[in-house]
Amino acid sequence: MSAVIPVSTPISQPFWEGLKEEVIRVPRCDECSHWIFYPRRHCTHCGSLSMTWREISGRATLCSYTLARVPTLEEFAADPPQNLAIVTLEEGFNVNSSLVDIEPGDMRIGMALRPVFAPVGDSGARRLLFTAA
Amino acid sequence: MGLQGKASITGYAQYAPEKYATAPQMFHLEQVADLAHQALKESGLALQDIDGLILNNTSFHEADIFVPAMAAEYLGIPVNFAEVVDLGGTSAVAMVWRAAAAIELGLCQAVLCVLPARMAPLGPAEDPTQLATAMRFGGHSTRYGAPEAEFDIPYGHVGQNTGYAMIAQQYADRFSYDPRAMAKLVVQQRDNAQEHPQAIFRGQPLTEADFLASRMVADPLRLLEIVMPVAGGAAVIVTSETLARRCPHRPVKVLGFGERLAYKSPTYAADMTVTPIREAARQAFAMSGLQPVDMHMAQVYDCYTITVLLSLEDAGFCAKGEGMRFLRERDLGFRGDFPLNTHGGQLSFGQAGTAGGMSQLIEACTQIQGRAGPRQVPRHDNAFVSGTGGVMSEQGVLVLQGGEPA
Repeated sequence: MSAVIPVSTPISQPFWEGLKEEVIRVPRCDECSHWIFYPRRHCTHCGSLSMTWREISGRATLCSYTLARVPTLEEFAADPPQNLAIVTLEEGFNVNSSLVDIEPGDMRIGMALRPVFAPVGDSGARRLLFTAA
Repeated sequence: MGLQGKASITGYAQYAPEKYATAPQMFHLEQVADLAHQALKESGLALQDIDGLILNNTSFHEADIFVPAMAAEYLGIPVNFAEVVDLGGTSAVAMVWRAAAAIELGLCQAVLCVLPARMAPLGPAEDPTQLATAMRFGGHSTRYGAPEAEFDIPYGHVGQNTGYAMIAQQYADRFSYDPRAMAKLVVQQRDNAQEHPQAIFRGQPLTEADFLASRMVADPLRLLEIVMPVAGGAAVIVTSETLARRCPHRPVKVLGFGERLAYKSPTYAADMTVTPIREAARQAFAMSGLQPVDMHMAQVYDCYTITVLLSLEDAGFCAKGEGMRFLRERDLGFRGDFPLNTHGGQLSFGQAGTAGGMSQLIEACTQIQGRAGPRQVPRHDNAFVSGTGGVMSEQGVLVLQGGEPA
């Protein structure tokens, strides 16, 4: 199980701590307003080193998804078929995720999604998953 | 800008793809020496003519660091130019242009580019399950601070299948995903493989019905759309004009190249249906002075069917969104109007790790030299070769042309 528990770094910690409080915090560039995901210490758009962590709504749409008929890792074998998703936040950046409580036949690229702050076992960590809005 | 077409591939060698369980086991250094020996014989050169060396360090068995020095010492040759390439499936393409550039700069005369991909024998204290454990995360790093360890693996985004599947799913949503077009690609490549003595799926032709009955692995990708890993290994020798004259066969000139790395995970692509090969191919064609329409064959890296489709579109063989139609309408056989992966592609030839990309390169050289036997392409002067690493993360292109035989 250990590899699937996210391990935060000094750079990303506010993101993972936010999820525990059921909020999504992402750094935004003070110079060009670009959202920086995954968190880094420079703006990938303009190179600025000045940024501020901001809370976002989590409103999102489905960018792409697949059903892994062969689990990608044994930790995901419990509830087949394993679903993987790429989600576009309304701020315009993508995150890796997974969809919950949506039947595979109802998954549609472009569908509106809202965040689910899902605990990873009893590790205390949470993952950012999504479900239909 | 770029190459003048003065460097040529004059020798090559590759192990027949084999199942890991039954393939011979050899140390990687031993494979380097063996493949070098075979390729040198082809090129009409001796070991002492080699003065440049390019190989892999990732998954090199006997060392992670100082690999070129170790290999040069093992071979017994000093070199003027040494390099490791860590570009996954586009390593073969990347090695050749680096070798050609070094030769045109006058750094060296003959460069050995080699990718050993047979397993090494287990040491007395080594655990046979070690490899399986190491392979659990595929090309994904689990190290602290690696973005993928933090933002991919916890969500199960691991390995290649699902990444390519999500690209294909995006394509399906924006354009269409036609299983019959993909079936045609797979079946025609399999037909091509029937005439290659080394192809792993020789003797096992396929039909569209076989394809459509093939089980779904990661929607929309079926099993027959996914390459099979095999043991193998390959080498090519790139030489100067002077040394190319010693080659008993037609030298294969490196006219143009391009390379583009855009991301590690397609999640962060600006548009995952537009692939890095677009820029790579644009540069390669501009450098060569040729166009897609001038190519007599396309040897396109095919870890997945979607890789071929997007490569053909983005390299300019057809318009964006037209790839499925292109595959349906063109004859992809070695005698067809668009000879594609005439050795069967890796889907039917087998994918020997990063040496898999060598199979496309070596097939292009074999065809250009007119040595492809029953699968010989009738017109065979110009070839397009591509490589793809990661999940469409890094792509490279070579434009090759047959020179005058000595």
